[in-house]
Amino acid sequence: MADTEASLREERLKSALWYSIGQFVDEECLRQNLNATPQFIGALTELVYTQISNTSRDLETFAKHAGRAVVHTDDVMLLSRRNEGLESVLKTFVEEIRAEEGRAAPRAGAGAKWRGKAAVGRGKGRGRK
Amino acid sequence: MPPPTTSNPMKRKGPTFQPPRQVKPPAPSTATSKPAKGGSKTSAARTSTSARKSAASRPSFQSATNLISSSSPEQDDADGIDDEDEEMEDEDVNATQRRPGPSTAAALEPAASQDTTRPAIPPNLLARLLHEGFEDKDMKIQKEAMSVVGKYMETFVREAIARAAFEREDAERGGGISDGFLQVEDLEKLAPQLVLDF
Repeated sequence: MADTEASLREERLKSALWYSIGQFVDEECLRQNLNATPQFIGALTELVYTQISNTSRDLETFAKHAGRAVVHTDDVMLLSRRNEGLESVLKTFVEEIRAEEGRAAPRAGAGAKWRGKAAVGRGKGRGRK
Repeated sequence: MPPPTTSNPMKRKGPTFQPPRQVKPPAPSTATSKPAKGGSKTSAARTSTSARKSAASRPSFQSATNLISSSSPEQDDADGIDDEDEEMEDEDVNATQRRPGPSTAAALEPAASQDTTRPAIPPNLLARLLHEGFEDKDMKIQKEAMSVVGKYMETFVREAIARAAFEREDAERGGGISDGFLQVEDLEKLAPQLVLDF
């Protein structure tokens, strides 16, 4: 029973993923003047699904290794440890996010946000205003 | 709505930045790029409405099953989607009404970078999939970390499509099937290296 329920849930998640991957691929194809067969989208969905579940297990392992029960950005950065190009992409993305958050009022943030901010402030030795 | 906004940037632009030179190039460039844009923008608008629908339906679904352990990222993600929609609507307005001056520059920039238009995987779905993959159900993920994972997966998908397009070119040059459709076999060829790279 539990098995069928779990597999049913997996199927539904996969179809949701299929839908959004399909839309993304269609958009990219329009942009680059390409076409993709439905089979291609299905196979890509399968690939992405596997990649996500591997990623989530990696992240969990990284966080646990650091003795935490919460995945931090540093754990995600570890995903790109073998690919310098990817690492620089993710680094610039993180810097963009932090710059935006710095501009936005930090006091309005939720609990998780605040904790993240405080940690960052402590790490770099700069206080909050 | 559009006429007042068109007049304002013009006035503002005259004194601050300089020349009549800059006014000329943007106008023809938007005019020439307009037909191509029209097609993709309408589809973007269509997808944005459907994305909104799914975003509206998903949170209730999640809370019903009670599977996600962290609630704050979801709310933030929902906000993110709304922002995205607004951005796209703005682009639509810019593309269709051909505003001169700084507003066209603003319209052209996102079209050039295009990374910011929409995430490959909706944040809500990605959060759900990640939590599904955790063995420890109490595992949580920071909001910032969540968006970085989003970027990571988006890069993954983009890379897959780009490499598939490259494989297709190769195959067509080699005299294979040449209808320009990305095939599963293209994906099969690139998958091992792609997974090694990510």
